[in-house]
Amino acid sequence: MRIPITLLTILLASACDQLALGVEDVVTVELPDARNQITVEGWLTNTNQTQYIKLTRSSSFNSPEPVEAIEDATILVQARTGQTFPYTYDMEGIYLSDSAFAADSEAEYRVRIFLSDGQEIRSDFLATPEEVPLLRLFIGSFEENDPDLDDPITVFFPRIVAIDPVDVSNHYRWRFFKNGSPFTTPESITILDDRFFDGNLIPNNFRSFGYNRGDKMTVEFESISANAYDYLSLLSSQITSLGTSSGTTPARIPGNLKYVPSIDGQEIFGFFGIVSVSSDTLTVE
Amino acid sequence: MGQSLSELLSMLKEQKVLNYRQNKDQIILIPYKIKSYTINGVLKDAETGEHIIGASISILGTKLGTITNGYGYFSITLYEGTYDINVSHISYSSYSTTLKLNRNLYLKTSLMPKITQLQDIEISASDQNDYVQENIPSLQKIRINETQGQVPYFLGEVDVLQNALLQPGIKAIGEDASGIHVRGGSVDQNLILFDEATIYNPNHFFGLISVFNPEAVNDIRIMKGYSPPSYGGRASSVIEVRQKEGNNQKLSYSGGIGILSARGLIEGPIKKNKSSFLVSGRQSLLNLSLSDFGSSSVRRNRVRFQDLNIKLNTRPNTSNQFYLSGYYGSDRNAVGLSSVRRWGNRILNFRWSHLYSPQLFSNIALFVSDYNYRIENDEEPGAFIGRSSITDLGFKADFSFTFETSNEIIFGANSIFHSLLPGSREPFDPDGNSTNLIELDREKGLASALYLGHNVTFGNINLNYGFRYSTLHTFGPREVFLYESATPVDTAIVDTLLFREGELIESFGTLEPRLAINARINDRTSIKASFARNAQYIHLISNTIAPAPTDIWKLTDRYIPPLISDQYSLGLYKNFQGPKNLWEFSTEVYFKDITNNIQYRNGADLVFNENIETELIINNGRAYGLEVFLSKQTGKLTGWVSYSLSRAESRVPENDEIRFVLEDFDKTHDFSTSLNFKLSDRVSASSNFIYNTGIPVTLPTDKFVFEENLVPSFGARNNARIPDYHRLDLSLKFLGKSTKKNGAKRKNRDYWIFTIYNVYSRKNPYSYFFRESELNPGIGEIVQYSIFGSMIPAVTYNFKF
Repeated sequence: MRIPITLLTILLASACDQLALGVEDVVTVELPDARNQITVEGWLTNTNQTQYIKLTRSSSFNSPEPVEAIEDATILVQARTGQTFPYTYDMEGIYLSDSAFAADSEAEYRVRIFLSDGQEIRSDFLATPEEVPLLRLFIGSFEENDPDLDDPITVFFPRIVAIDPVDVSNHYRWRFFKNGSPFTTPESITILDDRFFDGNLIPNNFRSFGYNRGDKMTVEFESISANAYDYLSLLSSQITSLGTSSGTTPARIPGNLKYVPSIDGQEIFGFFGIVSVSSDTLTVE
Repeated sequence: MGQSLSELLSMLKEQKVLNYRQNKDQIILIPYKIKSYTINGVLKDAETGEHIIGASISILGTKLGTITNGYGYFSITLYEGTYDINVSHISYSSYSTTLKLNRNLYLKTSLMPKITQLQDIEISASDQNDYVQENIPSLQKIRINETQGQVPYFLGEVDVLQNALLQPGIKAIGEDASGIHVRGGSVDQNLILFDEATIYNPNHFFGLISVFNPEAVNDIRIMKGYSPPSYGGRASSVIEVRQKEGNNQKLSYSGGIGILSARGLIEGPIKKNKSSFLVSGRQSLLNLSLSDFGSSSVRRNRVRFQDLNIKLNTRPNTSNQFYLSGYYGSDRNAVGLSSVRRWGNRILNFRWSHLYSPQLFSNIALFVSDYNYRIENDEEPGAFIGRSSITDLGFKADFSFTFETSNEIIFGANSIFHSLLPGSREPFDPDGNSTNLIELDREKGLASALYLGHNVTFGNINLNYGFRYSTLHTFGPREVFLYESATPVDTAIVDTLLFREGELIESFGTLEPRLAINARINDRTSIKASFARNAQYIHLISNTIAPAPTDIWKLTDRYIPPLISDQYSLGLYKNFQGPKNLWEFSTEVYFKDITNNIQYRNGADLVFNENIETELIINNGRAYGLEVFLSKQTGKLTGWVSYSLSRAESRVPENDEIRFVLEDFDKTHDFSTSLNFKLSDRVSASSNFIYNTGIPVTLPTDKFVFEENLVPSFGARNNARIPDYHRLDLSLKFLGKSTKKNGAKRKNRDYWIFTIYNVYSRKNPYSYFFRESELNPGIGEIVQYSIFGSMIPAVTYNFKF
């Protein structure tokens, strides 16, 4: 009996080398028909700059073509005071404001989009969130082992000091830029609700935003509305944790735009929001 | 006819037909009053002294009989006379005796086991009709020390809950998903009892194994539909796991070691035949690193767990028996470098079984159950410690009164005081300045029930009926928010009610009728039907696909009404017995109507949320199905085949309408088979094969781009299914020699088990996720995620002496 037991043990041990755990395979699946909805993406900021709004049309998820840019719409941002800021088409669905302007903290704005077929898309008037200052940006670092290198490498990451206003419900978004280019992976959508730190230092753990020596590190600290937070939170969960046991059920991500008048069965994807930005830039040395 | 009147009267008196009295020249005839007497007792295992549950006590030549209850106790009342009695159980050699019943009798009976854990002895054909005789419909029993309970599973572990998943109507979402679903119920709709106390999280290691150390477990009973009125509190099932009591005959040790864990048990008499003890422990061995896992949910996780079981019992006399049992479980999961999660169940249970008279038996228990989790994140700023807990202090008193023949009244009461901490979040460093202390109001509630049931047999029909009246009273201190509308989703708070310490907040009550009929067509066939209403006052709040240990429990309140399920079932049970083989066959259909099911609004934020009711949607659900089970208990080839055809749906609001949508765990077809073949006296082979329909998945219709991220936009919920699941596991069991070279019997016995999980390396899909192609930016791709993509070999060594 000892011989087969020993033999089996050796065979099993060798099979352990071939273990495959957590396997991902790209598969082809027949999907329901696409709905081809208009998508709006736009953030109006409180910094005096050329503002943008992006207009595209969704397509089938497994379509081999990228989403279609909509080039022939008329877009304007309108203040409740009546002041309007027209936008003009630039490229790849992006419309730029005709002149630089900043969202005024005292004012409310809405976007109006007129499609070439006469339909109008509109948001409600939105308030500009109160700006919370980024008090200090400095650089942290940690050592990381790279299997291809003998010595560990040093990874630099942003550390921030900012204080949340007390007794006010705030929502924040962090955006990071390396040498002028934003981090755009799904995991880089970094949002916070001040429920857990109201009136205190704002927590930040940005080790996943790695920089190398010599990189220019820019951090934008944005105050956003509760609606924008909810939108980004749901959007983030839909593109980062679906399919895992900790993931939630897939869901539509309701935005804040609508057809005026409404059209049965049609909705607008995307979000138009206003952010108050405080930013800082350092060079990693 | 040649008899004198005097002789005739004497004969009638002797035959207990008539009695007579002579008064001068008158003869007064008196109908003979036949007296009834009761035979009662506790049935035990002759080797270990363990009580034997579910054994048949049959009165030969009649259709009378009874079954030992959950404590091994039985009682049957018969007319005065002489009876041939047979005591039988599938795992034990049957015992027959002739009793002259002219007084109440306490029957001390022990049965010799046919098999032991370390030796597969062929079970000869017996007159067992276990499932046919069992009066509780939809009951699955797993006896852990038998071949049926020793099915090797992932990494060679034997596990009672994984074994349960091979039974019809019991499902899990997948391999990386905690929790089981019984007949379309959610994971929190199972009342999991370990001895008498509730286990709130029965899982270790992402649900791949349960907290029930097989060394310490005696048997498991799963009531999928009808449960006697003594049970309640959950809408779908009762899963009753009983620890061993401890060998009161001799000191013994057993244990085993495998890749995942090592376990051991010591048990023995404190005073032979009177009292015994049991101590058992299990420790994970690997502090397992799952760094190779691709899932973001388990990447960089390290997992370890421990279990400790104890039990003491003493029987000072035949009328009393006392038990003290406990369980301590601990899990630790390190996520990345700075976050650690710990959780565990702890229970302590005291039980007193008492015999007031041969007819009246009681079981009184006091128990404490505690489940808590703690999450530590030590990275500043924002370092915090999060906690949540649920503590139960419980009492239950169950009485059983047997009178006349086949008449049993059960009655009793139980009460559990729940104290829940839905969540607290405190600074990791008390002197730190970036985290606020958040402590949600503790919830306190007294869940109580009174019940009455009657178990009666008329000829071939057994009727179990009764009711349970359950209540929940919740108490302060607590803040209760009032909203603009009765449904608080997306509405504002308009007022807050403050309740003082101990002040009654709300009361709820539900009458739960129960009815089960077992009509025995003949000795081998029965038809069973049942109706059961169950009310549930405590709910797991979780909107993830699979529940996590950090999910919170919540009591019923103004916004979360009691969850009510009404289940109807009808089944056919039939045994086929040949000269050598016994086959058990059963099939059942069921329909379950679920009221006040909890669903969640899109993007619900459930963590440390003091207005959690604003995230919940209360709706109704339904589940229905057909189950088939075929089991072969005897011969060289034993095992079973199980199949269920089912559907579980919930009404959810979607696209401005409310419609039935498949539950995330729905599987239309679920087939499994577990077979064991005895190759020789010392070698046996076994296999499990599982096939089921893929779980529902919501497929995207569109893609859109938001800030350079490709975002899927989803259509109707659960509008497709992932591919079907199937898997084959094989194992070989080698028993050590039972005798030494000189022919003497070995004191110790051991065996090896070699297993291969997922023999043909099937990449069973666990889920889909949707992402942007790295090779073709702007193009969406669908990724099938599988937990295992290869066979998983393992070896375990087990011993007993």
